[in-house]
Amino acid sequence: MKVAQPEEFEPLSETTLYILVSLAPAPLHGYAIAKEVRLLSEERVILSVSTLYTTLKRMLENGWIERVGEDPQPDEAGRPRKTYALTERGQRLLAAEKSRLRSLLAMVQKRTVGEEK
Amino acid sequence: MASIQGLAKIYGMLLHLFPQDFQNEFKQEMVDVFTANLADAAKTGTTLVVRACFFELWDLPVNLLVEHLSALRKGNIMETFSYEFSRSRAVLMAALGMMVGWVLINLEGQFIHILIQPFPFLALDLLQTIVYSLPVVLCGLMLGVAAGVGRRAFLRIGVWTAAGGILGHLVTFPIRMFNTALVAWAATHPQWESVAVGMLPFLAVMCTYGFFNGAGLGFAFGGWRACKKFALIDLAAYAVGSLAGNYTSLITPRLVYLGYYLPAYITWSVIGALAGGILGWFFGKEKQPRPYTAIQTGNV
Repeated sequence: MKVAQPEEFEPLSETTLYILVSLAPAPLHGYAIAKEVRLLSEERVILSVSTLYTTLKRMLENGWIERVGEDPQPDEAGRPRKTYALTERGQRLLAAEKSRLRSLLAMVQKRTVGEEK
Repeated sequence: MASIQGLAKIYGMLLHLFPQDFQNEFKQEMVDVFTANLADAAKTGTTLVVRACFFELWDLPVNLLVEHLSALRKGNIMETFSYEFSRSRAVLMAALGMMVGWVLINLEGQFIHILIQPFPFLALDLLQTIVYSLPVVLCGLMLGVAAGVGRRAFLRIGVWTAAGGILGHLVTFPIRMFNTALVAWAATHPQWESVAVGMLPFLAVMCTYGFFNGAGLGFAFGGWRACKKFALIDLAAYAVGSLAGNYTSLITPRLVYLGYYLPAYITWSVIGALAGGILGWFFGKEKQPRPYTAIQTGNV
C-alpha cells in the first residue's frame, strides 16, 4: 500500500480522526461508529447524531470512506443498517496522519527531554 | 418505549431543516441511530434520556448551519441546474419580469406605507431596499420559467437575485444622496439646474443597479464566471434602457390617469423591458454549466 506523505493532507479534526481509526479494523454502521469513538476516546469524545452524519457525509464526499452494504444484523426496528468502510484513499490518509502525529510527538519529546527529568 | 418513539418522531421532524440532499441520504439512518441512543440511555435512567435529547438539540443548529453553508458553497442549495434557453423565450421572459418589477416599484410609493403597517419594526428604508430587488428577482424567476428549471433551482435564483438587488440598492445609496443634494443645490443655482437634474446622475444610479443585479443573476445561473460577465452586460443594458426610457418620457403626453402620472409608468416600462430584453438575449447564448458531482477530488 502506498503511504501518502503527511504534507499531502491537512491535519484532521479530532472527530474525523476518531472515525477513521474506528473504521480501520472493520466496516461499521453509524451507531457502532459512535460507540467505538466513545470507547476509543475514553468517553471524552461523544458524537451527537448530527455531528456524526455531517462528518460521515464530508468523508464520503472526499472519498475517504464508502458505503459497503448493509449489516446482516438489523436494528431494533428490523431495518438493515448501512455500513461504512475505509477506502484506499482513507487508509492512505490515516497512514499520513499517523506519520504526522509521530513526527510531531518526536519533535515535542526532543524539545522537552530536559523537562521530563 | 412509546416515549422514545415519540421523541424519535420529533427528531425526524427536526431533520427536515437539513438541506434536501442531506435528508435524502441520511435522515432515516440518523433517526435510527438517535432511537438506538435513546434506548441505550433509557436502560440507565430517564435523566440520561433527557440529557441525550438536549445534547442532540445543542449540536443541531451548528450542524444545520454547516450543512447549509456547504450546500451553498457547492452551489447545490438548490443544486446547480442545467438550463437551455431559446433566445426568443429568454428575451421575452426577462423583459416581462424586469418590466413588471419596475412598474410595481413605481406603485410602491403609493402602497409601501400600507405594506409596512403590519411590520412596524421594519424601517421604511429597509423595506424599500427589499422592494427594489423586485425587478431582478422577477426577471430571474421568469428566466427560470423560460429554462424550465425545477422547484429548488427557483429557490437558488430567488436567493441570489434578491442578494444582487438588495446590494445594488444599498450601494446606490450614497449616489442617491449626492443626487438629492445636487438637486437642492441647483434650486439656488438655476444656471446649473439642467445638469443637476439631468440624465447623468440618473444614469449613474441605474448603471450601478444594473451591475449588481446582473451579478446576482449571473451567479444564480452559472457561478462566478457568469457573475462577472452578466454584471457588465446588465450595466450596459441598464444604460441603454435608461437612455431610451428617458427619451420616451420626453415625448409622452403629460397625462394623469386615475391619479397615476402616465409618463413615469411608460418610462419605467421601457427601462425594464429593454434592460431585461438585452439581458435575456445574452442568457440565450449561455452554454450549459457542468453538472454538480457529489464526490469532489483533491480537496483533502
